[in-house]
Amino acid sequence: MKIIRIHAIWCPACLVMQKSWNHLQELYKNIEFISYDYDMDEEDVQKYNPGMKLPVHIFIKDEKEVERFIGEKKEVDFIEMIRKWQ
Amino acid sequence: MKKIIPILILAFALFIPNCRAEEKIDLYLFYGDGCPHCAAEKEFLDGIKSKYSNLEIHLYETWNSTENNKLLTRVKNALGVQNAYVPFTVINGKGYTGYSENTAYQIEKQIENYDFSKEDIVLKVIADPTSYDVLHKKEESTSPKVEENRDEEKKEERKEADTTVVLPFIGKIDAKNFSIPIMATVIGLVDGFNPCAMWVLLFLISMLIGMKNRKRMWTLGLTFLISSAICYLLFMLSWLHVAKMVSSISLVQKVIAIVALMAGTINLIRYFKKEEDACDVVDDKKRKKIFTRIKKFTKEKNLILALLGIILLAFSVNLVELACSAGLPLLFTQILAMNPLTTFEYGFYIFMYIFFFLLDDIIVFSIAMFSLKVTGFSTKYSKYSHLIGGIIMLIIGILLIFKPEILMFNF
Repeated sequence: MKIIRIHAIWCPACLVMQKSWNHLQELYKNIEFISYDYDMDEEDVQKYNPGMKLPVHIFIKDEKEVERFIGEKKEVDFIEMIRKWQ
Repeated sequence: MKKIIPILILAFALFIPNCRAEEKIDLYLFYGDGCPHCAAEKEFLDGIKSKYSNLEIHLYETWNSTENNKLLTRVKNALGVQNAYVPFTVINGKGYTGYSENTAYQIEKQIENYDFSKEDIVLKVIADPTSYDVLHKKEESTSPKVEENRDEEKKEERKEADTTVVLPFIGKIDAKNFSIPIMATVIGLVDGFNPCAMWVLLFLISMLIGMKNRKRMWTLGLTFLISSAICYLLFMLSWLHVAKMVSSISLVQKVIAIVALMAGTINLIRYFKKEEDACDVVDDKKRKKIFTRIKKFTKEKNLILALLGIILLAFSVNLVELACSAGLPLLFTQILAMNPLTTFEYGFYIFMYIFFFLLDDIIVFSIAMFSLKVTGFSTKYSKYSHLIGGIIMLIIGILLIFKPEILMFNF
């Protein structure tokens, strides 16, 4: 399973979620966490069609998108989602 | 015959005061419908009518009559008075703005010492209106000393109003003196959490953090914040100037009220729409253009050029983004204009508003500069700013239409 994050340095919601993102990486070593910057990694970002709201978190299982979080979410929401799909 | 002449002269001399007593004393009152101080003055004038039988009161309603409003402006121009407030009383060639016990005392004093030989200034203006389209720069109207006296008068008038309330632990406070500062704080904070221009600051901070020179980081960042404040200050001062000129015209107030109601409704819709707590991505072209400029200015070796670039950037971003949150500063300035404050007070309250507007930016910037980490406020705060801002706008809009006098805290 992998979680792809699309964020930006100018987005307060992304900055607020940084701590949770780091913590989740420590908690789930078996999950691949990939982070793309909306402005720096334009090419990669466009593959996931992120829309006009950030941050976007995409849950991928068996190379298929199973869930997508748009906007600011709590760490507990991520844990719940990981448990559901892992 | 010789004896008769002095008797006739004496009789004539004795008769003169009686004749004068029968001459009418003209008092002109310019007022606005719904203005509580105007109503109080009208009540006072009705009361003294029986005392001074020859007193003739001329009433001019100025909020609903453009013609009367123009006359008021011209009369004030003739008297060298630089404000648009009502009530405005003209008697014995003198003009009095506002109404208080002190004004009542002054009016009675003018009635008792009425100089019948003095030219009636209002009649003079009515006879030749075009001559008074511009302010007559009398020494007294423009000299700082008289302005100072007027400021003192305004302060005195406010002292007389009994609006004190007793708060636990704090003690006695005058509610009127606190209304505008509280508004400046609340509206400024709500406006500040509107995230329109925050993304530019965050990008700038992230670029500054990459620098090795701390002094330069602080200089460029503070320049951006101060320039943003100046941009806001200029906008608010310009609107204050316009609003002070037109605040007595009820139509203008109503137009602003409608704008407030519309903006308030949009804010509430945005809150209740339950959209994701997310950052809106600004149009690609615009965002990239601003990023390129920020990168260019922060990397500029010449500090003066870098500073100039940052100032230009702050002005251009804030001017464009002002449209996004102009509703709140516009309303706050309108409320200020409706209150006859001193020049210092106007400046102080605008400064206070801008300080609270920039408070979140100052916090984010300071944290970043000390910790070298970019932080942001949760988008929940901006969501709540839509709710609180929307409610404030609706309340002010409704008050501007139905009860504008409530917003005249100090009048």
